[in-house]
Amino acid sequence: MESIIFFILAFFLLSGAIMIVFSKESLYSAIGFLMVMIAMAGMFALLHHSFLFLAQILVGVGAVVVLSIMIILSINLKEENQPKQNITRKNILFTTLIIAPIAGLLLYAIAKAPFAFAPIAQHFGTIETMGKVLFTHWVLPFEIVSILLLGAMVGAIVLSRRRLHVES
Amino acid sequence: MIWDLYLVMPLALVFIGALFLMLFSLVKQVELTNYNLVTVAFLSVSLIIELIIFQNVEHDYLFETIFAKMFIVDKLSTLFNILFLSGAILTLLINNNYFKSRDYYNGEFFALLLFSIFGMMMLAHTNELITAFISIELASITLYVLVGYNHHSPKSSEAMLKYIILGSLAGVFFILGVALVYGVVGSTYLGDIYSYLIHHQNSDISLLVVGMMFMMVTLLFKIGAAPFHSWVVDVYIGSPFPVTMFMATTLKIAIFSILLRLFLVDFAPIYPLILEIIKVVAIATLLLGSLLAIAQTQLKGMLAASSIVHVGYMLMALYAIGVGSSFAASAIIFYLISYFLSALGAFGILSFLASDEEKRHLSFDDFKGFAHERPYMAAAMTIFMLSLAGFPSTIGFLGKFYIFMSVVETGEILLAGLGILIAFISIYYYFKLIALMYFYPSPNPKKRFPFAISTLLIVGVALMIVWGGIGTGLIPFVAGADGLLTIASEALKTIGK
Repeated sequence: MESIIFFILAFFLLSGAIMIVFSKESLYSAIGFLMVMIAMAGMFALLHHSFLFLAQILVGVGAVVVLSIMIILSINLKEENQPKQNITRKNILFTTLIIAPIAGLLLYAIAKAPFAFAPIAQHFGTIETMGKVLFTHWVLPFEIVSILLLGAMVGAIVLSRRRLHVES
Repeated sequence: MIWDLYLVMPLALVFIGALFLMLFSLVKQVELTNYNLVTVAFLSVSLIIELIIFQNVEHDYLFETIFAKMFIVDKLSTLFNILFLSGAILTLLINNNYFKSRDYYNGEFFALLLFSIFGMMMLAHTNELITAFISIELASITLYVLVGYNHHSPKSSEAMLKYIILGSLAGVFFILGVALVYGVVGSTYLGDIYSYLIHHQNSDISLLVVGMMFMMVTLLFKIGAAPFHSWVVDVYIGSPFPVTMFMATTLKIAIFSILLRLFLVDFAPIYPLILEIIKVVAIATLLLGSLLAIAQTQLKGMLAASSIVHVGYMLMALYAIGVGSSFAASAIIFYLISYFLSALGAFGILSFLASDEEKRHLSFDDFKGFAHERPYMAAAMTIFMLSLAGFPSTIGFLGKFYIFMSVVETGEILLAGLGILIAFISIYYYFKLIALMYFYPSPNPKKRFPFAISTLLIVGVALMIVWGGIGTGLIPFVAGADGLLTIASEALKTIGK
């Protein structure tokens, strides 16, 4: 049962990813992105990680994808306004030839790797355990992430304000 | 506990300074110079505390009950923090004139710069890979914005976009590598990878090696090593002078702080597997960087491309560490200091001239007869070029000398020979500028030496370079160039295994 759900989710994930790359309309790419995000959330749910599932739906789908769709709609992206991409068969073949050995190496390494994980505990992945782990063991990176977000926010405000400045 | 609070003071001061400037930038009446001075004041206090810490610290985990062993304070991290802080202070003061001459700078610029320095300092202190990733991102995300700060120039915006897209793509490799390493080791602490490799010598470690190489991809990208160097010239030319200076000097040192920590401890058991890669990367960096540097017509582009070559020399020493050189690691730190001083001065003169006269002094031809127009500036520029080329009697010569010595020590004569050949090639593009400055008549009349913070500091840096090169034997009581090497090796000893 689990493996059937996994393959369905994997199918959606991969087809969404292919859709992002190959569709000519940006809106279709954004919808492919949405598919990837939802399938990813499903993967987390399959792993009994309810916190990551919720976060993925709330942040990944609710904020990131919706924002990108809103931006595409509001600036009226059309195909003729976009830079030309030449996705020819030759380019795809060439890129595949470059990527294939790396992907093969990863597959080989993961198949042979001795993974060092304990069997999952009873309350794995619930909001309560995640909160406890984040605020005890991982409190330093957690706090630095907040500084990172603050810096990124200041940067985003500076960038967007200067655009208004140019127009006026 | 009190001692821990004292150790964390420099970082806290930089962060408080960033917050203060962020709020302070709302006040419109404040002049730009005052923002600059406030930033420098915060950084200077932090620097003084770091200097005191450097005397007294050995190896310490900060707030061990709260942060576990994530936050490390040792001589190496303190030494790197001193370099970041002095780099930032010099960058800000030398560019004082430039800030005033452009209308797009405001208080947020300094706040973002402080955020970036905070990320770099955290990177030097971290003992854990996820914290390292977040610190790299903190240092880079703020830099992306700084690169595109000049909103009048489409080139600046283009450089920012290029840097954002390539930089975040490269950053992703680090977190992928960390995930793979965690899968095998079950921990993301730096020392744990080493102990895993020592205790599991018979088991299959291919995934671990793949993960570590992915981490190297990001680090090599950020320092601009060969297969990942294509962004360097465009981004350096596109960004404003203070940011170029900051990226060329301080960011490079920051990445080397984590690279050295990883390479010296955790990569040690798998040296036989990765040394070939490092060697190829080093040779490719030297050759491709030299080719790029020869082809540049703009002076900023030449300095940017030559910074790739300097990374190649340091990668040579990184290879020497793996083969078993005893002082290659301190040679890298010494080279970082020498390159930092020389590049800071060279970019400083360019930024001073750009602030003085609009749209001039950017290509080689603009420097024809410069020595007759501004003799003191030309002399300082000559010293910087000599130091970058590695001419004897400058600190740059000693940097190259130590690097080549460490490579020769390991018996890699061919690699050292290639390095010396590349140094000879670099004479072409550095000495071209000197020749243009001195052997052509000047179209403009002679100008007086302008006394300002920027110019005095540039002359000071030039004197420091000469002092680092020849002053060592003259003054017995002050730590000279050899003293710097001793300090570096002392700091490297405090890395715990």
